[in-house]
Amino acid sequence: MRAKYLLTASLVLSLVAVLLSLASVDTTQYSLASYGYGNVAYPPQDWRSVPWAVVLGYLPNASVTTAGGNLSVSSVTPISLNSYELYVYQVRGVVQPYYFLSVPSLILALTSSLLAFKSTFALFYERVTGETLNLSGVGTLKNFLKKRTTSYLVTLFISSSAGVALEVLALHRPLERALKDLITMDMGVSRVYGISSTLVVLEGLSFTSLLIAITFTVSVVLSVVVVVYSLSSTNLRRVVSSWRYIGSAIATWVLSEALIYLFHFQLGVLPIGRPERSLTGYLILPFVALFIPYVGILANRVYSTASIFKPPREVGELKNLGKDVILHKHVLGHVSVVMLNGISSAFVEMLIGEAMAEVIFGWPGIGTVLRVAVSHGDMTVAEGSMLSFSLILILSAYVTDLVYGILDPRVRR
Amino acid sequence: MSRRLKFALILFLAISLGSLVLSEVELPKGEPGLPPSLTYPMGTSLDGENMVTLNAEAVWDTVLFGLLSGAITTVITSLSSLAVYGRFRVRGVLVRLADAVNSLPRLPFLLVLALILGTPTGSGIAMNFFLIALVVSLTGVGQFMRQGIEFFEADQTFRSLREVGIVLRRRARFVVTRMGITFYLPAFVDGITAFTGIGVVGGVGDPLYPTLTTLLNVAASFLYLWWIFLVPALFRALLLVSVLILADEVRKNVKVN
Repeated sequence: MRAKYLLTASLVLSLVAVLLSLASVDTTQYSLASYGYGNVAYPPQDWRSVPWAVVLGYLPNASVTTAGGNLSVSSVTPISLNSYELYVYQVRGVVQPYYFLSVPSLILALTSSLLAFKSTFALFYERVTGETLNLSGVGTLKNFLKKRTTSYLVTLFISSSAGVALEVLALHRPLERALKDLITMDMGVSRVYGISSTLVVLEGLSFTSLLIAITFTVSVVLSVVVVVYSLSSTNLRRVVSSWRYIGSAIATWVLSEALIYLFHFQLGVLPIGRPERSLTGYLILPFVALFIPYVGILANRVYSTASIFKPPREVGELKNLGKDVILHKHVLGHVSVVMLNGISSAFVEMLIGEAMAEVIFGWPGIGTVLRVAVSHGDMTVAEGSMLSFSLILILSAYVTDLVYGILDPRVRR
Repeated sequence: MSRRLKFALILFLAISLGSLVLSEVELPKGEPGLPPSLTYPMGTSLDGENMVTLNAEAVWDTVLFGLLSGAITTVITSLSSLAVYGRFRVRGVLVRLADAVNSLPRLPFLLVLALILGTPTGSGIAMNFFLIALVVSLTGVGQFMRQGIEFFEADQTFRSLREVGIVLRRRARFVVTRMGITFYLPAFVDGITAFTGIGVVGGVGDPLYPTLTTLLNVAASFLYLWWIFLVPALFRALLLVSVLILADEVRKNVKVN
């Protein structure tokens, strides 16, 4: 297969990931009502299952209308009426209707990055050797995935057991209830936001997925380009080597603080916090804070792996091959496959790094959701976040294996 | 000893011991939020504390945390490596155990544990410093255990307590030394990094032991005062760079037979 087609496919997938995440953070007005007769007005039964945009700070408003007029209601709770009468209880506010698209967006972002990683290497490979990628091989993808599925089911079981154990021990819920919650992915009602914890977590994840979808693929592609050039330039290699230490030591969140000081407080050119108008301005600083350390960290990992596969100089002489051909065919060819798992771990690490950056920037992603939950003892949201992370971890590893199986026919045996 | 190793060792010792000495010295307090000057070389904090003292205390507490979590992780990893000599399928059980711990997403898992073991304050979680070190090490030990177990071949099984003694006498020093060299410094960095993670995201920390993360966490709300966050950030970077270089150089230069 030609590398440019693979690269185009990865770019299209990346674009779809961004579009899905943009849709997932979209908001709209929504209202629902219930009516009845009695001396207590009850809110609509399923109002807690509506994806109110609480992580953006839009808590739902409530109003009760009776024959006597409108009653002011401070929060969505049952309201005592003066006498038995007919009432209409209305809950309205801003909702995030497509919040559920955050998970597919994250998975697509990872898939596109894996493809972009392989295809960028392949593009250099084609340019130097004139050969195209060979994706045919022995063994079927189905059998390969069947084997891998078993191991992921075990991992899923372990994570789920930890979730159930925590629910029983920390929330003192009966075991049957904890199991039911896990199967239905219903962690209960958030103590802070008053709506379903699962919704809160997924709403936060929408903003996280938007930032990841933009940052991760760009970091992956750039790290490959940096590595390819650093293999033939000593000066660039030194820069890449130091970048690793700087990336690990300065860290995303420290860089975030420095960027806020410079661009928000000193120059006053870029906003931070919950996005109010256009998203673009709010995305720039978190993007830079994530992008800079991760290109260095990723490039170093790729470079270290490349060093393992570097053959002795005599190999080139014996095979009568040029230095570039040896590099692209025998070194980077292996690296582009072996490192696919490394990309998957980097994806998970970036999710964690992003959680920290989100807290510093006040970006309403999963990091901020976790911060609020933990500070206020909201165990259901914290536990829901843990299970969501587990699920993403397993899904991302599964997707990596799938892409691995497609791109490297040897593993299908 | 290579030049890089010497440089990293001197930098690490200078930062650690310098901070230990400075944290014991009584320096004058001042007006809240003063920028650096000759009287206050690193400025003053929001409650008028001398930032030299605060930074010194924070650096030392961070080093202490790293030393503690490095020690806990290395001891557990070494013990598990010795345990692979056991008669039963200890290796298999330990590998599965390590995989189980590794399969849990560490940051949210740590936060859930902090919620159970600590006290939410409205802006974070107050939790005992030593308990945090223990929990952080226990959740991170899986990745080291996995590597540690693979280090040694299970070529021997215990048939009696006497054999256990013989193996321990013959191999324990080798295992512990090798484990120490290979895992202590990476575990030191891992401990600090994980603590940073829960400190930044969850505000987890012990008010009695403020670390560099605690300072940077407080500074996050006052980022217009550059000396409140830039100086601790610089110390954190220098400390981690010195330990990362030390870890790399020790692995490269020190051989254990």
